[in-house]
Amino acid sequence: MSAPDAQLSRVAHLLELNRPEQALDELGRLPAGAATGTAAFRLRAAALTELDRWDDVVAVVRQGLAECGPDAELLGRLGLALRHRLEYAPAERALLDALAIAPQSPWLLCQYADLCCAVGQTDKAERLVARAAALAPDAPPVFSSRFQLAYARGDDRAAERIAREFLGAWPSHPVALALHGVAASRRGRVGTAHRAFGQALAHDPTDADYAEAAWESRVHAHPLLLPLRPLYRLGTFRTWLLAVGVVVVLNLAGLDLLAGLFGLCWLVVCVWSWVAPSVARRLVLGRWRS
Amino acid sequence: MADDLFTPTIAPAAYEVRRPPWRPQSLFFPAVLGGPTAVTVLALVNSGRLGLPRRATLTVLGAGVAGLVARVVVTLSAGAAGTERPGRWIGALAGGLVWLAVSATQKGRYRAYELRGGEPASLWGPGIAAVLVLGFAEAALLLLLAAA
Repeated sequence: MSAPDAQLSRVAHLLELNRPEQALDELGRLPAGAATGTAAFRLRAAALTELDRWDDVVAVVRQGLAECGPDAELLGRLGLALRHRLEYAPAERALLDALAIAPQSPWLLCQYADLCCAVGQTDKAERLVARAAALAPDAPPVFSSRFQLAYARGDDRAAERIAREFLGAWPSHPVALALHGVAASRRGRVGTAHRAFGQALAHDPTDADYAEAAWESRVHAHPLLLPLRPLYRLGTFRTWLLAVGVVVVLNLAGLDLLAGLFGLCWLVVCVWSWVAPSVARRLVLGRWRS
Repeated sequence: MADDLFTPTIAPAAYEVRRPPWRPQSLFFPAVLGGPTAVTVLALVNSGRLGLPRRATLTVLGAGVAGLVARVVVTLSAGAAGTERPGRWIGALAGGLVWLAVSATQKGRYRAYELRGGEPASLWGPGIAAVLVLGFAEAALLLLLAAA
């Protein structure tokens, strides 16, 4: 193996270890010839993707495409970066160009499915995910896209089931842990969400989204919010239905005083649910968060 | 490659920036506190912000009208039967049922908005205004009909 090839292997290994900044440093040390090869552009774009530096991803990919010609992975990265820059139609163009080169790539199919979800085209997204799942049913991007599709459709139960399946297949994958956290958080399982986000962050400390989610879950796990856990668990509609039902039953039974007291307690819980998260945030961070 | 799956379908109109929508789940509070008219009016405004198709908007309108009619009929029937106490909660129940239809039609589109990184607009001002103005208007309508 030549010296530049060994360097590129080291960069790929650093990316596997979630060390994108070190990978970029290593790429900066490549000799001029190797630095402008397709593999170097792919790795540079991957590292910048890890760091969510979308403008830089677009610039690097465009340079790579100009210097090395059409490449499915680079075009896929371009689609991903453009999606994050909210340029959906150009992102679709880039992904379709990539799929014209590699129509059987599960990663590209999932990228396109995620894009369709973001613009509300869930039926098309479902067909794309089905095609990707037929090619690689246990691939992390397939699980992730299935989760995103269920979430976009408002099917939280399906999303939770997919997150469990993902975690079962990939127990230490940061995305699996994070999606498990999202699903748990949606279902009001505060402790589970807190643990899952913490583990995701431990596996990928460079991801700002995991850090934010872990912080947010720490707020929700605060003892001040303990009385609100049944509300989070049952959901707003069911809790209100229950509360209104109890007051109506007490009223019908002629227990006006009890109904009044219950109503007052319910009002206090509602006000607490609006005020307490901000207070908990302040206590966790030590200041009001913007 | 002749594959309709790989045909471009995303037009800028699908994601153009409008006024930020309210979270459909949050509409539950004006629904319970203000009744079916309050939640229907807010939901119709939200439909525009979410860019919902005409059919979904009409579903919201239909659910709102049905909720209002049901509230009037049930409240007047309960009043005629002399059972006044549950009548206070009929508005909340009707509003809650209309909210179910609103949630079913708006949840998916709102989730897509969330996936694009969108943040919800605050419902505090419009929500309180809807509860006070439309909730009282609905109560006045009921009083007028009961007196007639």
